[in-house]
Amino acid sequence: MELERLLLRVKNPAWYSGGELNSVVKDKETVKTRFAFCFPDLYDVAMSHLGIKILYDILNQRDDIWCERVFAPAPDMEALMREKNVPLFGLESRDAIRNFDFIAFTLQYELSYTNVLNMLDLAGLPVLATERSDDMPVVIAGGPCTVNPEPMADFIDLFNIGEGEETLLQLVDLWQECKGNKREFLERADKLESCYVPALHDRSVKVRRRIIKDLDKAPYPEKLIVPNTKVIHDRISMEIMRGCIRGCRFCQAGMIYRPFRQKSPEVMMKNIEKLCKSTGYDEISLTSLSSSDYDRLPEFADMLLDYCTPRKINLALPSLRIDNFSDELLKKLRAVRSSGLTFAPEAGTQRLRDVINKNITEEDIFESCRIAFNGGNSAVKLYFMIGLPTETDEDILGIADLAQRIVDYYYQLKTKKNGKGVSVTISLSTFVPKPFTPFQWEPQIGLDEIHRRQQLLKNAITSRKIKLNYHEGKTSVLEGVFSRGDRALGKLIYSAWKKGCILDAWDEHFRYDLWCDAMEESGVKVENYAGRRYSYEEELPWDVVDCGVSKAFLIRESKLAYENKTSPNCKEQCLGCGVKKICGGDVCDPNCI
Amino acid sequence: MIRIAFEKNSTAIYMSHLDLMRCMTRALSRAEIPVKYTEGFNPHPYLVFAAPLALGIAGEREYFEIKITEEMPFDEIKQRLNETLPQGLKILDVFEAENDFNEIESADYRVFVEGKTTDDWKEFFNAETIPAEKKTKRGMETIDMKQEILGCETEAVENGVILHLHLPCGNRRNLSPLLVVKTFAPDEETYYTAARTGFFDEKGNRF
Repeated sequence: MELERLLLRVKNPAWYSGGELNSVVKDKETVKTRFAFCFPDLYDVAMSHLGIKILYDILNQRDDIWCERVFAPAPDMEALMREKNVPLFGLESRDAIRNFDFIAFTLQYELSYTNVLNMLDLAGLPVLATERSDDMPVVIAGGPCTVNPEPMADFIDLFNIGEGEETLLQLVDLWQECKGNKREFLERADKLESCYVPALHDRSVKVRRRIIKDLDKAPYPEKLIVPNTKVIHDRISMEIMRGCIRGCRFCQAGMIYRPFRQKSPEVMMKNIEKLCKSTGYDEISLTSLSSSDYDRLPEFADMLLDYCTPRKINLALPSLRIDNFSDELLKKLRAVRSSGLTFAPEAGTQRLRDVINKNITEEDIFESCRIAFNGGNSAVKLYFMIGLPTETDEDILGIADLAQRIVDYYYQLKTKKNGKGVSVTISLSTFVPKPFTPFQWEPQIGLDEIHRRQQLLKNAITSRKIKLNYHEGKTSVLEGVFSRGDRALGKLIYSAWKKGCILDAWDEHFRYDLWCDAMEESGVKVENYAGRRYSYEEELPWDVVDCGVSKAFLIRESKLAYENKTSPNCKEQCLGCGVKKICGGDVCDPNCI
Repeated sequence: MIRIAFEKNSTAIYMSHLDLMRCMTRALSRAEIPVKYTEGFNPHPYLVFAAPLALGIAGEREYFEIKITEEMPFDEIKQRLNETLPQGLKILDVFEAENDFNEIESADYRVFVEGKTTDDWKEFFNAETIPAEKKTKRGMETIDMKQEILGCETEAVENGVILHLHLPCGNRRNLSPLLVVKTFAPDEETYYTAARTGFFDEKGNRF
C-alpha cells in the first residue's frame, strides 16, 4: 500500500502502477526464477522498445520464470522513493528487485549508462560488481551498446552479446542448474560463446555475438502490453527483417545486426492478426533498418492493406531508402495514411556520399522528391550528418544547396498544388565513430568545430521553406567518448552519476557541466577517446568481441572511403565481411533466403 | 444510443480521461463490437463519456455511450468487453439510454482524507468564503468554493475523515473533488482517496 501513497503525488503515476492489459502476473510461490528486465530510461521510452517485448514474452512463456519490467523513475518519483525508502520494484509484482535472481539491463544508447547505476542504487544494491555479494542478484546486460562492453564492465556481472532470444533462456537454465550459486554460475556462463564476465574472462578468447538464424522460426509475441497511458510509439511494431545489405560506413546497426534476414509475409500476417486482436491498436509500424530492401515488399504491402484498410488500421513504414521506392508503393501506402516523407542522404555532396558508401545519387534524391511531390506530399524531411571523415566546408554548404534545389524543384513541377508551399526539414546530427564500423578508427570533431559547422550551414540557408534542426552537440561528444571507450571509463560514469548525472538523453536533465567536472575528477579526456584517431594496429577495447565482421574487412572499407570509392551492397556482391563464420552456413547470402 | 456503465478503480485510476478514451476504443476493437465510426479523414469510434474523471479519482458507476452498426445482445457486449479490459476497469451494465448526458448537473463523491477530523472540516467549511485557485480554459481563476459545494456530510473514521461531497458536475458548472481536498488539506504529503459514486440531473434524479 505504500506505493499508493506516492503515486498521487507524481506527474505520471501510470508509469509505476502496473496493471496494464497483457502484463504478466504469476504466483511467486510457483516460479523458480525471478527476472527483472530493466530498460534504463523512462516508461514512455522503454515501453516503445520492441526488444523488451520480445524477450519479456519469451521468458514469461516459461512457467518457472517470471519476468517483470523495471524502468527508470522520473526525478519526482525518484525523490519520493528515496525519501520514503521505497526500493526499486518490478511493475508486475511491486516486489523489490534486489531479491530477484536476475537484474538484466538492455543498453540501447550510451547516454543511458548513468541510469543503470542509478537504478542499481535505487534497488538498494552496490553499483560496482565487485562490491555486490554472492547472495545478490546477477546483474547482466545486453543490447547494441554491449558490442563494446568495456565502459560498463565495472558495474555488470555478465554481458550477453547479440540476439537474446535463445541465450537468455540458456542463462536461466544454467542458473537453475547452479542452484543459485552465483560464483559457479558466472564461471560457467563465461565459457558460453556469447557471454563475457569481465571479472573472469580471458581476453584471448573472443566472445562471439549470437544470432538467430531463421527469423520465421524465432518466437514473436502474440500479445503486447498495452500501456494505460500514452507512450512514444503506441502501436504494433512488426519486425520485418534484421540486418542490412547496405554497408554504410558510419552505421553501426548496418554492421552489428548482420546477416540480412527476412521474415516471410505469411508468418508476419499471422503475427499481425494475433497482435491486432490482442491489443486493439489502430496502427502498425514495420520495423527494420531499411524497409524498402525487403524483397517481397509490394506483395506484403498488398496483404497488409487488405487487412488494415477495412479495419481502419494505419500503416507506418519508416526507414524507406530513397533509391528504390516506387510510385506504386507510395500510392499503396497513401491509401492508408502517410505523414510526410523522410529520407536520409546523410551527406550534401556526391563525393562525401561515396566516402560513406551511402550509394545514392542526386538523381535518386530528386526522383524520390518527384514521386513524393506528385503523390501530394509537400513536406520532406532529410537527415544529414556533419563531421563525417574527409568532410570539408564545401560538403556542408552542399547540404544547404541540395535543400534549396529541392525547394526550387517543387515549384517547377506542374503538379504542385495551388497555394500549398513546400517544406524541407533538415535534421542534422553529428557523426560519432562506432565500434565495428569502417569508421571505428576515425576521430570525432570537437565541440567548437561542431558549433562552427552547424553555424556554417545555418548561415547558408536563406529560404524560409527550409527548416534546420540540430542538437547542441555536447551529447554527441559524450557518445563519442563512450562508444569507443575502455574500462577506464567506469570511473567517469561512476563519478558523473555521483555528481547527479541521470537521464542524460533528456535535454532538460543533461548536465554537461557535471560531466566536465567528472572528467576532470576521473582523468578522462575527450581528446583521448572521441577526438583521437585510433590506429589500425592498436588493440581496441572491443577486440574481445567478435561481431562477425572482420577487422580486415573494416580496414578495406576504411581505405576505400579515403579513395572516394563505394562498395556494392550484399545483394549485388558479397564483400566477404566475415559474418558467414558466425552463421555457420550461407545465411548471410541474401539471394539464398 | 447504447449506454455502458462501468467502474474504474485499482490501477485504472491513474488513467487520465484521454487515456481512458484510448483504452475503451481499443477494448471495443479487441472485443469486436461493431461500433459506429465517425466520418471524416481520421475516423474513430463514436464514443461519448458522461463526464471526464480526473486522474486519481475512482468511479463506482461511470458511463459512456456508443452506437453500433449491427445488432448485438447487451449481455454479449458486456461479456466481451469484460474479457478484455485492463485491471481496474469493469463493465457493470449495458442498456438503452433514456436520457442525455447533457442533463447531468451534479455528482456525489466519497473522499477519504487521512489525518483530518470532522471538526477540521467544520472549521474549514464554516468560513465565510473559501477562496481557491481553479484552472480554467481562460487561465487561473479564483473561485469561492463555499458557493460551489452543494453539500457535504462527514463521517469520522479511525485515521481520518470521509467526506461525502455533492458537487456540481457537467457542462455548465464543475468542481473537482481534488480541488476541495487540496484546499482543505494543502499539505502535499496528505494521503487521500476519492471516488465518484453517482450522477444526478437538475431534479436530483440519479442517472
